[in-house]
Amino acid sequence: MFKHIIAIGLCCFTITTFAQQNKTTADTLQAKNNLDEVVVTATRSERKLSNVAVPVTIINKKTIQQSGSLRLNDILNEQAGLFITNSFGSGLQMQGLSPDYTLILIDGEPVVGRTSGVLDLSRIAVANIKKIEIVKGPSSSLYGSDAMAGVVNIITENPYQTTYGASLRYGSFGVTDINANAAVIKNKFNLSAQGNFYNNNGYNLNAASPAQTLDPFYNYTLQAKAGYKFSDKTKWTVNARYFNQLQTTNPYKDVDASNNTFVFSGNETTKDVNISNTLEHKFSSAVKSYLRIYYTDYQSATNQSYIYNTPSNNIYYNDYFEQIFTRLENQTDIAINSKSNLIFGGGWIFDNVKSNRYDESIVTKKNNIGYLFSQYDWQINNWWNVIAGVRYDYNQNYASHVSPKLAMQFIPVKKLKINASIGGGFKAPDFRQLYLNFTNTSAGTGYTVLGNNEVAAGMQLLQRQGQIQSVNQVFYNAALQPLQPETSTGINLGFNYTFTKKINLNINFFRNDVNNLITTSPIAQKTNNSFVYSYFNLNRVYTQGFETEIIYKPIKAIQISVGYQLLYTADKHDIDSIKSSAGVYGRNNGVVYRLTLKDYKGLFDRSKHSANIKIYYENKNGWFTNLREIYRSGWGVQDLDGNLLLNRGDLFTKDFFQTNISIGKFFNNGLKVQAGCDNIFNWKDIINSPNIPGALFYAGISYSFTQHKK
Amino acid sequence: MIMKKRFLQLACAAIITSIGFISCSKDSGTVTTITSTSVSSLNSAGSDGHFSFYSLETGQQIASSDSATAKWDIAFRSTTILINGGTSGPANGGAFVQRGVTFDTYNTISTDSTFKIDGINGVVRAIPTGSGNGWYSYNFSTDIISPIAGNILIVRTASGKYAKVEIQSYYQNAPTMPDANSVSRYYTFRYVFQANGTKTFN
Repeated sequence: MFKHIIAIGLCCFTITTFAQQNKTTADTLQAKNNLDEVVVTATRSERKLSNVAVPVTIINKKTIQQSGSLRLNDILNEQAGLFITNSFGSGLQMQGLSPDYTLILIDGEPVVGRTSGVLDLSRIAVANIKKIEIVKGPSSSLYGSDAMAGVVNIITENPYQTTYGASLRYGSFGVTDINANAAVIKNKFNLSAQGNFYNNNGYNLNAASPAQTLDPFYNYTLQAKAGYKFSDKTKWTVNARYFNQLQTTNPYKDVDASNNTFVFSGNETTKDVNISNTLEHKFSSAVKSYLRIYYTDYQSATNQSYIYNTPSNNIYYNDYFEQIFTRLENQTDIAINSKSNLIFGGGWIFDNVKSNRYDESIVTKKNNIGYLFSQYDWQINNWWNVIAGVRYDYNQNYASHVSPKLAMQFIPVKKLKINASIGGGFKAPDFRQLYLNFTNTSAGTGYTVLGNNEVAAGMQLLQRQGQIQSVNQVFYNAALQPLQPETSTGINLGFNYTFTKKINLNINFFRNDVNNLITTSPIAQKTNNSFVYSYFNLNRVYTQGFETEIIYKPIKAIQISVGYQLLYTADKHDIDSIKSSAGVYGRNNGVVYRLTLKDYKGLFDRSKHSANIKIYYENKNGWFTNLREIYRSGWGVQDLDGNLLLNRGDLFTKDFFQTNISIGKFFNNGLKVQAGCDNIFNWKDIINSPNIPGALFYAGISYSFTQHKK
Repeated sequence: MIMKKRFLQLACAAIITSIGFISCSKDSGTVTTITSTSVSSLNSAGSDGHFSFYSLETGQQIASSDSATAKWDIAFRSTTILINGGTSGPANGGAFVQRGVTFDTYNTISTDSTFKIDGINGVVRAIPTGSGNGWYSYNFSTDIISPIAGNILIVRTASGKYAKVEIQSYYQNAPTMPDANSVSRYYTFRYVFQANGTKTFN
């Protein structure tokens, strides 16, 4: 409460900062979903948004800034059909598929370093990016593994004139965000650099617990981009990024199961380096080729200690994980004629992981992936466009995989566009699913996780040591089979109708069928009663529904948008079990009942309904304000009746409802002030959404200078 | 502190309710009474290394000093359940897990049912341990043990009579939604003991 009062005070009397790189005058509102905008992610080539046959959303810089978003998860949370999950960081659920199945790119190059399959979106600062492109539906035909639900591409600004700027923002929970940026253009050379510092003091939502809900952390991001134009035909660009975060658990006293007091302390460091190098050459007006070399190194190190009065009881826990991913790629674009374009390319990936999760000491595991892809884009006539693509991935550790995609756009009448696409997605098993050999020694639980390659030897050893009490033979046999890639087929059917210049309606129906889903389950129980887990291909799931958005611009200064997604999900194995003669039983308020399909609620962590209403206002004098409301129906979080599936009587969250507001002004001299509040009605669910601490107030100031071209 | 805790545990193990059922036996026409007994928060922490022994016949907890007698029918320590027979005790008790039924409607033990005996014929436990194998599932993401709805334990007692047992909770005071703060190893269950030695419960 006290913190909030301080924050409100700040909001009213202090001025904090925020970055605004170029123009200070508010000329146009919200270019969001402007159909003339250019998209690169959907086809790996520049295309107008209106000409792309697959579902794409663009979030531009102005929306990000006016919404007061700092990290990638902040802004994605406000998009219809995207859901931010909160285990192992802020993950992205798209079209009802888990965070594991969305590829996150920065300028077309993949961000690596996932924990339990989740890439933590809060690692990515969004203050100085140009736009975010979101492509929904399987995109493995262009991007390979992981692009099963879709792709999010963060496009950074290309320096186009000399600029510099700085911003400062402060808010609730000590959230401090500082940015500085500069860009120089000199003849054929350009250079830009920017830095971001972010601090969060953390919070505690459960006074009864000695541990903080969120431990304090700070991070910084440094980015630089340089380009050199050898000629009108040849260009070279290098893009470098460095991220470093330290999170510290301040020492606190706690009591273990045997009533002994210990002092816990710990810290976690996360580092991320990305360097990409692109050489672009135009052989002719019709042929363009890119050579790209990309290197990324993600490191995470956790140290924890449990210090007892008796030193011999002390427990130390260290976890180290590093992924080094290097990629060499060539892509060539050929304009065959005015109606057809061909893209083809190939590449080689060296993927290395170093960790102590696979053995007692730090060991390195390697994988090599080679790939070829091609896409043919044919404008058959003025109302019919076809894009066909295919990609072949060779994977050293698994069978090779072919991912096709076919997308078509029809324009039967001028105001209506119909997009239809079908594509294959896949996700190769990751290092953890193969090599993990991990026994949790912290907190005295002692469970073991064995990757697919380790399970036979690992179980034999445990059995020889007499540590196994019982084996789940069905799951153990499944775990002994070699892991196959997870595969999916996705269908999207979209309609875009422009009623007038002021009203646009977009609706997209989707269905994803995922096979061979890799599941983790106990395969045995140890004599200490804890479990041995492994991974195996088991489940088949589907997600389906539709997503719609209406954008209405009653006057130039106002844009209103309403978004909605209806989502149904199911594990096909669960459905078979419910339909089987043996049936599945559930418990609702203590009463045991046999499930019908009506009682089955699909996959965990999915909201059936999600919606948002966003109103943006911006006038000629530089004032802007906006209101964004986000709604999600409750989602299933826990099985309570031991049938391991989600049904009537299990634990669901309450409905999620968040209202965010922001107000600010651009001044002609380059100054901008902004204040706002996220979650103004203080929605909280301490148990199920510990990532939401309540209302967050903030205020900021920024300055930017742009040298206009002569 | 420790003394106080133990006292509380014993207090919690108190039997709270007995509900009477009356039904007609078809062949004799005589009226018999079968009671369903509920047991609340029986402590199975096993902090002294012993199981918690229980007699379904008398509805009493049995001291661990009587573990080598036929006084008890079923015993609990954390998620493991013993039946008095085979390698677990001197009596001739046995059991099996009946899946996919509701407690109230399961009234006849079919003649082809096989009662398993602890440690006999390759059976480790008549009530198998391990998630999904017997009476419970373990959710590794929440660290919660949930009794499997629709699974009940059919027990042949130490005296050779029959009982059906439904485990309802593994947490102290049987919270509807156990969480990380719930205290585990407290069994809440209900059972029907058929004193006349038949395999029917109505």
